[in-house]
Amino acid sequence: MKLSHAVLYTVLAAGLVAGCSRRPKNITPLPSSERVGGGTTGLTPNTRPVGGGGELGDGGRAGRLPTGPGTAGTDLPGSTTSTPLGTDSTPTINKPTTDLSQPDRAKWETWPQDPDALRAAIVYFDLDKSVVRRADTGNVAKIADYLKSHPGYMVKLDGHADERGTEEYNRALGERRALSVRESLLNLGVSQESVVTATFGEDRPAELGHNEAAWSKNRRVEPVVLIPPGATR
Amino acid sequence: MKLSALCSPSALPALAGGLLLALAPPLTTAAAESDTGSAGAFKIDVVTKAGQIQPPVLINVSGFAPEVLSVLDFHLTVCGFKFASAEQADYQLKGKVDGNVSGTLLSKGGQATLFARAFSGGTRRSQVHALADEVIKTVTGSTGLGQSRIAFRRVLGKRNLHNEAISEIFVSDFDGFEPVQLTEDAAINASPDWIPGMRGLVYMSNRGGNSDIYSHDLSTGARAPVARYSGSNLSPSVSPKGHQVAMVLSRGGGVHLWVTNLDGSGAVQLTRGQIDASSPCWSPNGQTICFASTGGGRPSLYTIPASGGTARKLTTGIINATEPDWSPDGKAIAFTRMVGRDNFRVCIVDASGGVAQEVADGEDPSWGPNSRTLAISFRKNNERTLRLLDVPTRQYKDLPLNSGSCSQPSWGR
Repeated sequence: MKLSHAVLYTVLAAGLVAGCSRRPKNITPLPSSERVGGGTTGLTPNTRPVGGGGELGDGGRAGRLPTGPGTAGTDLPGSTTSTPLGTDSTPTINKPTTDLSQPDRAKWETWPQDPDALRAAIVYFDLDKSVVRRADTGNVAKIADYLKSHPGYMVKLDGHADERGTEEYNRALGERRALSVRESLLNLGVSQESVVTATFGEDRPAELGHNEAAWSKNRRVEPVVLIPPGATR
Repeated sequence: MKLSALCSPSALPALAGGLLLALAPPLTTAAAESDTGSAGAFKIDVVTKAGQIQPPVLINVSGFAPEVLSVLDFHLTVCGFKFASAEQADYQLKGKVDGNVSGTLLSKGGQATLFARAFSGGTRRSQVHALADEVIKTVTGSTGLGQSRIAFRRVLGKRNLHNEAISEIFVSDFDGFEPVQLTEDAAINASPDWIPGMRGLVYMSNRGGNSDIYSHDLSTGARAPVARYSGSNLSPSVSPKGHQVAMVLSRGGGVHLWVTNLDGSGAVQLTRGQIDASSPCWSPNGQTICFASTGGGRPSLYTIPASGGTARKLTTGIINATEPDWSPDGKAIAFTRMVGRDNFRVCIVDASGGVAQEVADGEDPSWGPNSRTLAISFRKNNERTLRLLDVPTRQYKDLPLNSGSCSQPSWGR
């Protein structure tokens, strides 16, 4: 099936390119489709970055802007508003909580990071859960102890999920895990100013396998030490 | 059962061989797909109604070269048409490619000429898409897809020193052609969402070491940060008028829904407490935001006024619902339902809530401008690929982007 697609698209692309030398003024040309016939596999249209002109500003690339219909058609001779919301309401819980805000980004962003100092304190999680397991509270305590014995240091908690689940859900799940460990640290007396969180979702696995042995290693929060300027390690 | 098993491009070898069969067999037979065979396995809160699957519009196409026919087939299939013999067909499209593409659409049996047009300018492929747009507009009254584009995330198949899946943001025509790589950060770039009018995109990138949100101007390539707070800055979604961005931030100590202006100013927190948030989207009138929340339990879809207010659960009893996308006509919300932890179904629910309908295997749906075709991501062999699904007929085509795992489609409109 793939092969027939491949043949088809190669044939198709070749045929199309042959007939597309003229472009209307109102279409910003993309790099011409050199992809056709050039590939050795010919499986799909190649993708290549836009050449030239794109390397501006913050390092992004320019793309083709939308244009009006570049293809003109001529007659041949002879010829919302939103709907009501659900009724089952779950009011937002406005539980007054202590301020859990994260410290200012500018404070820690340029600090050197040490991912190894607390490697023995990685916190693991059950499937689709963000609650710190009783067995892992010792690791949370290790992080708290480290911060107490290193005044001025901070910890970044990198939350991760296994590859199951949808991508954005996993990103949020990794963040919820990091925040869960953060809250446990705060409960142990750690200052909220010394803990920040991050998430990598499923994109940075500790193990690359596609089985429970790997997944259980990937559902985790890794503490990364942030070293303040001028501190000796 | 699996959609992939039903994808039988049996006519393709013939096409590739240059044989134009007047009696071309149907290229896609997914119309027969339904989950009714295993209805007992589903919760009663999600009802699959096989009877709601519409038959495709049968069209006989003749006179075109194979490569033109293939483009026509892709476009018309994902808009609910199906190639058929002249005897069976409701419409006949007779064409020729004489430098430019031209076509004549006739009613059943050739009794009336519905249009006869020639197309000039652009590429031949764009001319074919313009012809398809004309057919769709004439027959159904709705817009075609010819001018639309899709942004997506592509994992490049290599990992950096941190074992990260390097992924970049790409943009292509809606049929997967003319793909353009927009970022080259060797970082995790994800969650692209179009700025209306397809002027640019917003997306998440951890190129700076943290998950941050950027806007990206397509005309200049210039990027500007939208949200770079401590904690994670995730899942940006631009409002229909393009002035605001809904997103998920953890700066306040919880994973919550926030709205900022497009330049990142004026951040307002919309959810609190147990109503955490992931993958927000806007209603087309800009007044409501739909998002997924665990609400302290399993994820469900919620809505909340974009100006702030009370979050309401949209779907009662539907668990494991994530990744909502609101149709441009405002009528429906497509979303992903996790079945167990390994299977994903694309579902659709009326925007007023109620019973959802499973329409396909896959995840992360994004509506096309016609409010009937969805771009979805589909897992196979631990990789993801992109697929266009015509919801009423369940016909589909895969985008020819098979190198690298492609996911998180966002259909520009």
